[in-house]
Amino acid sequence: MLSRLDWLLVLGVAAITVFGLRMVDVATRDDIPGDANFFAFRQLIYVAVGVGVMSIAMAIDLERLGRRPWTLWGALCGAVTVVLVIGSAARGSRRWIDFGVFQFQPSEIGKIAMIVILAGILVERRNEIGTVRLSLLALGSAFLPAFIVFVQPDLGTSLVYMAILAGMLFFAGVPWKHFAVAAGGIITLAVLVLAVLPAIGAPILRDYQINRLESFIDSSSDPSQTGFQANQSRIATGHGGAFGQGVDGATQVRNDLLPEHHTDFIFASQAEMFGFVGAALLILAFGLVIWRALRIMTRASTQFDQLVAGGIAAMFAFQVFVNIGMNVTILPITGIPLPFMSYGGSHTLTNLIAVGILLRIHRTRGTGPL
Amino acid sequence: MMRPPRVTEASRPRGSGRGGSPLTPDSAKRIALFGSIVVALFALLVIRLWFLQVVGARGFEAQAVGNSVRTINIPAPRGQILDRNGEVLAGSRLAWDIVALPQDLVNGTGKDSKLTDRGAKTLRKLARAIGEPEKRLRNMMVIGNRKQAYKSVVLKADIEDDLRIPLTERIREYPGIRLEQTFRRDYPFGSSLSHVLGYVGQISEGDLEQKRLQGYRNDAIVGRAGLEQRYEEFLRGKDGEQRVEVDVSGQPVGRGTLSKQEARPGLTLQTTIDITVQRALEDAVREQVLLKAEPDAGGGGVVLDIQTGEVVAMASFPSLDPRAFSRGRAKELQGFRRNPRKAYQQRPLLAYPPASTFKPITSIAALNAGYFTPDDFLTSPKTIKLYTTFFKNFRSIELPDMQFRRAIAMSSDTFFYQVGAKIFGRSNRDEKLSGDNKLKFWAGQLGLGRSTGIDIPGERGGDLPDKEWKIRNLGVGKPRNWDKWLPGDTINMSVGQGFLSATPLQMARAYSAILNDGHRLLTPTVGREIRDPQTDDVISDLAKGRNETQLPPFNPRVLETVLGGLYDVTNTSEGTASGVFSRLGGRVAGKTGTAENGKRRDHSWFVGYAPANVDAKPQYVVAVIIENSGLGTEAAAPAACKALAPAALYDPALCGRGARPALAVGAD
Repeated sequence: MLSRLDWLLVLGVAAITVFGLRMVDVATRDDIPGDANFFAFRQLIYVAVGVGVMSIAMAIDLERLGRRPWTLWGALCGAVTVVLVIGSAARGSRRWIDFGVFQFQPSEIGKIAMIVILAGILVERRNEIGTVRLSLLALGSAFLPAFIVFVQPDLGTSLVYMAILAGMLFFAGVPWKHFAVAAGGIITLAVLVLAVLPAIGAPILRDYQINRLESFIDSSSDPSQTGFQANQSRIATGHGGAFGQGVDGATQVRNDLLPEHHTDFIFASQAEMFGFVGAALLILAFGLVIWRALRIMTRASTQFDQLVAGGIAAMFAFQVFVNIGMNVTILPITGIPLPFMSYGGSHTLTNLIAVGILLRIHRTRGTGPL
Repeated sequence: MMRPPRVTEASRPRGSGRGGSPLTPDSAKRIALFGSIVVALFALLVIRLWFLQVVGARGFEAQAVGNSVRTINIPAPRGQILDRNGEVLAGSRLAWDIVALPQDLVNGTGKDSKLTDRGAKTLRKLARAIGEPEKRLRNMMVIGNRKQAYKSVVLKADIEDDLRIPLTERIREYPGIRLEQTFRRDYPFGSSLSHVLGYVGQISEGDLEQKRLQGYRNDAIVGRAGLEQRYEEFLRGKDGEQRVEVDVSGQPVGRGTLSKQEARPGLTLQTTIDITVQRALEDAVREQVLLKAEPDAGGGGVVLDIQTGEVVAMASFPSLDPRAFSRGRAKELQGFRRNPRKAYQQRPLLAYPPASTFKPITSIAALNAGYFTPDDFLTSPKTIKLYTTFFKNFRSIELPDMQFRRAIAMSSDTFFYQVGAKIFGRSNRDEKLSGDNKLKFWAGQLGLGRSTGIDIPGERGGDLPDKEWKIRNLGVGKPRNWDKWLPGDTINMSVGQGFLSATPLQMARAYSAILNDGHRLLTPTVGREIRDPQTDDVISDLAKGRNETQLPPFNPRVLETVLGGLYDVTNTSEGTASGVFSRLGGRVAGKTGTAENGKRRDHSWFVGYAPANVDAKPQYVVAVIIENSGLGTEAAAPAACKALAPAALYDPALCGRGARPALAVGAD
């Protein structure tokens, strides 16, 4: 049994998770006066629960769920809609359902659901792969939940849905032409949303989303307002230098100059503390995880498993790249957490469940190349 | 990183059945491509990190330090001002200000300064919390930014505890706002001594250009009048500064102080003031002004140590409240400016005609020159014609023939007119023309006509007239005889009128010179020594540099005559001030003066000293003026009597009230 574990994947995820716990701990020591371990303690519980559900995920046969993709799709759309209506708002956004001790964000676990749904649809209609009809169907099935999440508003998570869709269609063998048309469509849509519609008085993006985009374009122009986060993140990263300032020397993090230093900007936090060496090693560790995901994909025993593993690989790759890209200010701020690192229950659970699914696919691998 | 996946026998998608791999050549290619893209993107991140962290690290280092290191001013308390017994006359009290750095709340520089959104939000919230108009706070920050973005702006000074404590607890809700400890000038005796101590205020832009104020912060507090101004160089402390690490809201963080330069407190100024005598003098002057002076008149007085010239008390009524100045309370300041009694004037340093208080000087001039002997009798008629002019006795009363001692006691004007006429008559041709005769000589020797050099700014020198003086001062209007010294000029001067004027301080100093051992004309001083507040070591003995000049030699009989006259003023029934001092058993001697003042009521003068008993050594001299209040014995003498009580150790209740004397008894 243990011999059928992907030890390298486990090692990579464990290393990043433990490092993430340590980062949450040292970055938040001064945040809650009188309770230095507030965040670290909670994150430790999330990880513990996450390891538990990861083990459960290893025992669940997703393929049975995947046979009824539309039921699952209905449940997903229903869940994110319910959140939109009754969810508790935080920082101007309704994404969470409050269970008292624990606030859960359905759109996070929805990423897994999205992967299972798309894999189910694609396997069910495997003979139609390559047709415009199936591509549009898949697009539609991903777009509706993504749109509801976008309206919450949670641009980051909705982008992850679309990234999962793109990755899985790509792995399933959808022709290049479809991607080219989609890219053209996105560009047209972007022009409409950003320029044309606001000009005729119908803004689609929220002010804070526009601010983020604008501040990304020129973040140093106005360091105290919209570009504040990006600017502080860049300073923190640069301040780290080659070998880092250490835990106590990381003034950007410790003095709260870098906002969200334990969530969206935890990468910049570790970059200030551990420098280029630490940051490069961390990126290498993420590379390891994604490599193992792709390797598991090649060995999957069924097309369903293969597509699920591909979806998870795409999800990880997109989140890691977009989050770090935003931390080093080559991408706009989109509020996507860094897997296994950022403080937060829902996404920690989701990512560990995804790892559990990968481990199950690995365990039940077929005669693929060893 | 990616091993090229090997392709198995099955090249078709295999559905969900177990046993075969669903991997096709196409999907293998796509997975490899995906892996390559991930490698490329991650490489891009690493390259970006290389540029940020290795190539550009230095620039970010500076930014990070600028972000989290602040220089905080450690205020130095201003030096204390003490009275001669160590009572604190001016001290420093801990206070808290609400301050902010413009650079934390404002963007841009100069005219482009504009509050950031965060800054505007913080100020809006703060304005509500402290009850100040939001607009005012915004303007202060923007203007502060235009001047110096890194200099703290005080948004509200000297806040009370009921505002400070809740604000301290919630200070993190106001990013960029700090509470700063400062010192406020405190005057425990309130408006006592206000003119002597002066006051402090925020340095002005004009001040900053002055040489003596170089190196001051642009928000420094400086002495603006009185001792605060005169001894600024000692009283000012040197602020220290501390470099500390701060968090995003600008609050210092626990981890620490990076460097610290301690503040050096200001030095202590010990004065010669005795607060007990001071308060007695103030109370006495206030009482007489309110009782007897016209509604737009004030009063003042000074008590000197006869042997040293030290100022024991110096008062002017109405007084000011120095706290109103240090807090900049505009309303109160305007109140002082509009006070009909002219609160800003410092009466002991203003010049008035000395009137009859000058007669002892006339006596010395005439007797010492040998124009008369103390035994000579002169008449004191109602009127007397001298040269071509008629001179009237005070209230046109006729007194018996008398000698100098009695003439001083009864203050006979016609007696002294004759003395003045003789001084003029006996002087030589040059002296006659210039007016530079024995009377002017002695008045000058006793310090009249020039400032005393007291260590308080704003002193007047008074007028000691001669022909030159007339030409200089009357030349503009050119009244009759503006360019000639006439006999009448000397005759008027001999009773302390005419063009002569002197400050109460000058008269007190002149009497001291007559009374002290060795007849020295001393420089009156208020500052005695500068001391280190921590070790109490004397750093500068201000008494050392005091200037003193010896009077010309005196005939002892002259002195005996004059002092006898002064004793009789207060101690014989015919003395002009006997009604005030007769119950004191000879403790006080002195001279009344009633300065004519055009159509208005006379200024009331008294210059006296104690103890005056035969064997005692005179210790304190007092000079009091009560403006527009009548005879010398009516207002100034009772004030002087009460003022000297704590110094000369008698019961002030023994002082008479200074009723108008019976006409037959005395003149002035």
